[in-house]
Amino acid sequence: MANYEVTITDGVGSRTMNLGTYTVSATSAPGYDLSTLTPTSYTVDATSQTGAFTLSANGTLTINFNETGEAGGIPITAGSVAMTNSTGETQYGTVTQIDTNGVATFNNVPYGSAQAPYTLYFKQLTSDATHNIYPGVFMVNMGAQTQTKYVQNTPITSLQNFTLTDANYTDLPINSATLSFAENA
Amino acid sequence: MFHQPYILHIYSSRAPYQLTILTCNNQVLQKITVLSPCTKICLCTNDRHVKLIAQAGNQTLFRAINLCCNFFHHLWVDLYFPQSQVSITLNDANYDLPIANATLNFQGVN
Repeated sequence: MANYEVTITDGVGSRTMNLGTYTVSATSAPGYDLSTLTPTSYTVDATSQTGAFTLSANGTLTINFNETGEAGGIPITAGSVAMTNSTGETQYGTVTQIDTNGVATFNNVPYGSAQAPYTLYFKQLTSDATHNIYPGVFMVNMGAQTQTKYVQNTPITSLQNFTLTDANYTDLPINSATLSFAENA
Repeated sequence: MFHQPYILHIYSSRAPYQLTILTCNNQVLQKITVLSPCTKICLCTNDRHVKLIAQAGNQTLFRAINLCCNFFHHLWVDLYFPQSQVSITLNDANYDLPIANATLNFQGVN
């Protein structure tokens, strides 16, 4: 019986095959669970054709969006983020919401090892009302099944101009003074 | 009856396959399973023409053979079963993300 190996690069491959029905299996796919290949049967007919297959992974990525981009930073309270290609122009999957703790969770992501991680790209689409989104695309090297990433969202700032004048002599500027602004809890 | 022995040298692009040799009147002269792409069949018949039917998987090829054309009683037959160009896509099931590197194995079942 005919037996073919098809190499897949960046999601595509091709081969000339005898007509007939085949049992299909994944023999290599770093980052993915080979047992999840779908479909596992394929029939080649007389016309040129395209066979679409999928694999699933079981890694989990937790992304924390906060003001410092490190553990312990003040988190944002809303927003959205998506998995993309390296340029951010193509989105993969659905947009994921950032919760009130600044956390977005991506399940079923591919992963490798510390020595050979699987690289994924993401783009933040929105933040909350008082923070800026992370500019551009950020990369995550999934080197373990469960991983956490911190991403910085700087607070939105606005230049304010103040005047301080004498209350009794209109428009008399006060020579020197210091005002303190403490944010309300 | 005068039987002319002929040697059919058959090359097939796929094996194994089922080979049936018939007279023009559809009388079966031989019916065999050929395991090798290259094979020789000794054929004794008084017919001038025979028909070959080669079946592999869901493909069937037909050949008409004129036995009188070859003075040396050896005939060479090529059986080319059509192939098809297949393009494969492999994406992440959850994110529709093209999978960077993988190898798929296709094992024929018929």
